[in-house]
Amino acid sequence: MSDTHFSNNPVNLQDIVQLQQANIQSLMPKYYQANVVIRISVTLLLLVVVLIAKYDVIFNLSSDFSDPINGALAVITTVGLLSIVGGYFTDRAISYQVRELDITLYSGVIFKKIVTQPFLRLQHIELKRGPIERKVGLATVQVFSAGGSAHTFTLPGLSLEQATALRQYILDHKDVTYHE
Amino acid sequence: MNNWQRVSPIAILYFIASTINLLLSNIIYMVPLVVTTYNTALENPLWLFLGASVFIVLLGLSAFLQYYFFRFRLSDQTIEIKSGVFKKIHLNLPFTRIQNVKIITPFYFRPFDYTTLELDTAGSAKSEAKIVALELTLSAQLKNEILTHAQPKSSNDAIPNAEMINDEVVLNRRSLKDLVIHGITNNRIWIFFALLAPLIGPAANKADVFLVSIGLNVSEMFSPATHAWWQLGLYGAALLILSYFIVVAFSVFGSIIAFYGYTLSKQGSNYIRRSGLLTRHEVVMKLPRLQLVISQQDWLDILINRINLRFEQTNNQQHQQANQEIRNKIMVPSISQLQFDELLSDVWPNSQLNGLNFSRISKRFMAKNIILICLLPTIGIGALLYNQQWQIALIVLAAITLLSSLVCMRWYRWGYAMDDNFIYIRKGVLGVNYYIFPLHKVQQAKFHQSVLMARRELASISLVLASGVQKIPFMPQQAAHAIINKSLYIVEFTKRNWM
Repeated sequence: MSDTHFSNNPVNLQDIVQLQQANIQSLMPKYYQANVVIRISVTLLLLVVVLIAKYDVIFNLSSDFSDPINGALAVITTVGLLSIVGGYFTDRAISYQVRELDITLYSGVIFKKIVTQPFLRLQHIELKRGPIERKVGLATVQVFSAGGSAHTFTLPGLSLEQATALRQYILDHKDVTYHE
Repeated sequence: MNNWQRVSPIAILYFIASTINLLLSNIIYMVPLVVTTYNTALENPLWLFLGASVFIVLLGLSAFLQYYFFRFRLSDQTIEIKSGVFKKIHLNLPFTRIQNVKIITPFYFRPFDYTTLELDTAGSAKSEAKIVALELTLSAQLKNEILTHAQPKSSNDAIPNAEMINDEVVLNRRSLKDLVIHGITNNRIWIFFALLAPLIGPAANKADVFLVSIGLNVSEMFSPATHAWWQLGLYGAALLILSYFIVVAFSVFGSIIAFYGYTLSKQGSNYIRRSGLLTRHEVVMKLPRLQLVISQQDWLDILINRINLRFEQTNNQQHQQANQEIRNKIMVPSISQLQFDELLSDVWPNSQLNGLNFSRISKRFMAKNIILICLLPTIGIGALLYNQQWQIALIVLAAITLLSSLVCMRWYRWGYAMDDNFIYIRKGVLGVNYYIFPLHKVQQAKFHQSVLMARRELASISLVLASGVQKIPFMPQQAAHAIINKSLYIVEFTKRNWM
């Protein structure tokens, strides 16, 4: 093990304020778009269900339950709007940076979070694609460490090519650990 | 050992015990059955007798079948176990995947010199292998074979094993007095109750009947109709003190049951804990598997200068009950500061807990939490004062003050320090705990910062270890980055394995 082969831009602790800021990448625009569409559709669907109840299209409920129904309408509209607007900005705040030996995820609007996962601590890696992700050509990469399932490093909103390349890159660079 | 073999027939005892245990822990489902058939059964003693015999025969038969179908073999550094009567299980476990080796000797095995060998697997695999009823010597031999596997194998197994057994050094013993102290300072009552759990319900009923029979009627004693309020108050206080002493007594029993004859010994790089009054547990930890050392002191421990030391390994046993956990972990109960220092420097010679300068976290930690605590009740108090509910308002105020002072204590305790290889975190409210871990064991680093914190250049960090996450809140942003960068640097540069 010699110093010469190592480069992860070790930094002078005094100078450093941020993890090196260069080459921070944002997610695919399709990711935000898809999420906005999903949130709008879910909100509209819920609204339609409640409106059906309100206007007695199928059941005769409105006379007994008009207060709860109006309450539900208000709650769904508020939560829906908040999740659409808030969700959009939360999604936009996600970015990531791949370095030679680790990957970092930046997220959060008000509560900012920076998670760094060294490749050396990789237990296994998953490439996930849900039905909607497959439809729009996106993929999610999950890196599992021994830290447990609660601390799985999840990077969504990659194109399939990016995700496959990243997965291969991480597998190639997970290095052999040195046994004591 | 390469052929499939059965364990000793003594295993039938184990299977009977585990079936009874299973039945007892599900006793609540049988209550309706018992209640509905109780009277009929009493009227027909013959049927009762027949039923009981059938039950015993079935119990014996199922235990025998479980024994009959339980076979294991060792081949090519792998242990294979076939078990199951109806649902067949074939378990294949390579030695390299074994995290923990435990030798558990239930009391009914002790006269026969048999033990149960339990093998914990690493990571996501949930299965754990149990070889029931092995001879003591055989299980020790097997244990050594599994543990020495990581090291290069010598040509002859028998001799190094003998040597290894000989050069086992006892690092720590706990006397009965230590265990009594441990029982008093730490709540180990549930160890005791875990044993009695199925019997507690009936016991409580019996106790009531017993008290009435000796002339005490509990419900009459506490009736406000017959007594003045101060009498009730005195009764209450006396009862509180009495129950406290009972709790402490049970806790002492619990501590003795779990830790009787405690030894922590070292054999090569393996640390071995043995203890137990009824069932003896032997837990082995390989040094590289150690992730975190905790020094634990409750406020009572601080008064009498005792420390509980815990060696934490990977945290894949979350599903286990607290009672199981304490027995499976390597914990050294109620040791002195000196003994703690010795053990710490034995596992991690470079670590240095004494004479460290801990940096305290920011005072804004208090501000944030106290504001959060006050937020809701303040509105409530407003409403209460408006409605002139003075007493309730006072109680709420007292609760807020109490919680806030606890927050202040938490702030006072929470500190961190770092040296070349280790991070030290001090934490606690009334008691104080120290968490010590090497930087190269970090699995993942997290940096948290809210907009308000950013304005004050503060940040929180979480360092994820295989044994769980360690958090330092409200520290200067620069120090947060420094710790994260240093731990990443050490992980990525030294490339040292974490286990």
